[in-house]
Amino acid sequence: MDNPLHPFELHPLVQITLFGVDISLNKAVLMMWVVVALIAGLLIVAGTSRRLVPTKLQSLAELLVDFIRGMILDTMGKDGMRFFPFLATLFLFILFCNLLGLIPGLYTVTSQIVVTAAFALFVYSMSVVVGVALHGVKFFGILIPPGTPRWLLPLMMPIELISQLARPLSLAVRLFANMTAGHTVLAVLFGMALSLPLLIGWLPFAFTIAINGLEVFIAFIQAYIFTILTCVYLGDAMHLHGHDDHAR
Amino acid sequence: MPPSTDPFYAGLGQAVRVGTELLAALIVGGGLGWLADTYLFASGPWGVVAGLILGAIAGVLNAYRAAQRWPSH
Repeated sequence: MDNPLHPFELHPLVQITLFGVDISLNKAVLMMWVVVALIAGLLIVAGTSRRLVPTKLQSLAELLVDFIRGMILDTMGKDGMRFFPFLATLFLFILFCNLLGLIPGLYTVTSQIVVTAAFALFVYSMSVVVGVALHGVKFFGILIPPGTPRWLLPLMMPIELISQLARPLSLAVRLFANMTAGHTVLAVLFGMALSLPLLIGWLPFAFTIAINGLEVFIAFIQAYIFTILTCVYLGDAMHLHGHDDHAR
Repeated sequence: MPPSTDPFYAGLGQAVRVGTELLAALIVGGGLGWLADTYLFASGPWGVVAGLILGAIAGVLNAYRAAQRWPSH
């Protein structure tokens, strides 16, 4: 029987080396191209007709846009809308990667921690850059929670620093772990279904179907959490300590 | 596609979030302590010990803050 972690292995399909850097094509790269092409194609086709009474595709696109818009307005307020293109791209990319990965035989890009860590680091650096650009040195005041007595500062600053640095890590690990764990459970159950006699083997097979349904839900929830936390972090950087009035 | 203001989804998002929040701060705290031990001071295990304690506090603080944003309507 296959190792249940076997589906996560990546092997180069085409060996390409450019200036000594290995940029070989593999399944993950191909999947990302497919996802990007699919999202772009879907939204371009949905956006061309612009009817007053929308077609099915157009109303799906409108739902998506409205959903992301609601998420931004809830967490960052109106001035968060300038990040709409970035956040919509992030949400759709993660959502489609998660969902397409559930189709048997296709690769789940978000089960590679390299991918999720790259997203998380980019998002976090972006929030720091936005904070410094808007507030200058005052941005680093986030390391001092409001109302801290002076004698507690040597204790509170390291704690705040750690809690800030934990943000990109928890973003990356959450998405990676959820996707990897779900697919490993599916692989283990399916392996059991194949290796057991039919009399009992139908049970793990039924579970694979049930858990595949659960995974669709998790794919959505994880994309949602990643994007809403990006909103929260960007909102923190924009509003500093005043954020609690805007964020829920 | 549910509306993002749906309390069920907002609540579920918060619930899934809290667990990793605890873990990530612990790892970062311990990691910073280990770095300080190994490359800065050669201070034995004490950097890791202090880092883990601070990380645990930071993790609880993060989880508490995540819970504070709970939609209360």
